[in-house]
Amino acid sequence: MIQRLIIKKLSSNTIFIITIPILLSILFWFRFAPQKQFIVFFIATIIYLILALIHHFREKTLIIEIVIEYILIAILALVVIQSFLI
Amino acid sequence: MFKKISHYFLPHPETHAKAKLLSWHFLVIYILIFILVRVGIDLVSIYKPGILGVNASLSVDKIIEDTNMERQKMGLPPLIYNSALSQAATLKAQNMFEENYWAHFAPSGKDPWGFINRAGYRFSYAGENLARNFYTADDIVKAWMASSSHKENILNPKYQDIGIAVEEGVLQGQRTTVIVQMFGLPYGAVSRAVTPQPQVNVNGQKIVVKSGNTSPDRILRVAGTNNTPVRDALIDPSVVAKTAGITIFALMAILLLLDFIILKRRGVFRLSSQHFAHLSFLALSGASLILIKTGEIL
Repeated sequence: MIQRLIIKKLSSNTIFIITIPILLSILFWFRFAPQKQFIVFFIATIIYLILALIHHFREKTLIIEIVIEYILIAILALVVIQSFLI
Repeated sequence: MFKKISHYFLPHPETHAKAKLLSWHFLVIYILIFILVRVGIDLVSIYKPGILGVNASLSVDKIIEDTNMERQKMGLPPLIYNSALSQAATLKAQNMFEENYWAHFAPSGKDPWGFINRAGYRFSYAGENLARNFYTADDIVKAWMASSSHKENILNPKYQDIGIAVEEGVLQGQRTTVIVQMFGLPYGAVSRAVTPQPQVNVNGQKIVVKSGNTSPDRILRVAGTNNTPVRDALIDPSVVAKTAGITIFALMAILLLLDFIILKRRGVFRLSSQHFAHLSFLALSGASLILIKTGEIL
């Protein structure tokens, strides 16, 4: 049971560790194409939300307060980034 | 007093509740703060034009050099500087400040080929690229090359001549440097492409210039422009907004790290969101903000 939990945690964190540099590289690649940058960032936000929700669903810790927190952080980042990229 | 303040930054010592600055109430406040910063920038631009803006010193020669480098990479001949086309670009830039617009076509109906004709350049094919709020010539050309329609202009084998204007003024309330790049094939010159009628390439759209559009009565009068007086801008609005964004992201990241470390030390479990996910996403957001180039092309 403990081993399974560790593997789950590792896999969730590993996905973030792998995807962040990839997304950063794509954002850097499109640094002169703001609309494409925004699309990449929007996809990154969706990935963040989906991974977080899956993680909490598996851990049976998916409660409304946690969902709101993730959504608000995603909105905050989108509001900040979109004001430069659109 | 200190205890009360510490609850805003650190997890509660008894309940282990998250720092108040990380609660969803404060997340809403951060969103509102950022929206207020943006609205404030817009209001200053409207009521105190010229205070906000970008101070850039751009070299015309460097823009031409970079443009020709891109052409040479594709095996195309370099464009030759044409003073009449440069004058047309200057007329266009001055008209943008005069009529306060950021577009290829003026609100009064003036079109790009009108400026070219006014400058005395007779063309069979012409194009226009616009840019503003850039700090370097390299960034301008790279931004144009990242856009298919602008790239099409730069790499168009039909063009022989180039004209550039780098004009400073107050546009839509913000002090800015507008760059107008005009391309042309002189009328009667030999080109790989045969164009039966004069044509302009504006933002990827090929527009055939009707004979009526080149008549003298459509020629522009730009002498004696009444632009808003130009002075050095005090603040770059994108720097203000970027600083606000990065500050919010950094504050949240620091508080999340503190929360993670303190909870680990206390050895308590709390039903909450994942620190690592938030930190990764905030790092990505902060890095995106740093990577963003704030210049605009059209």
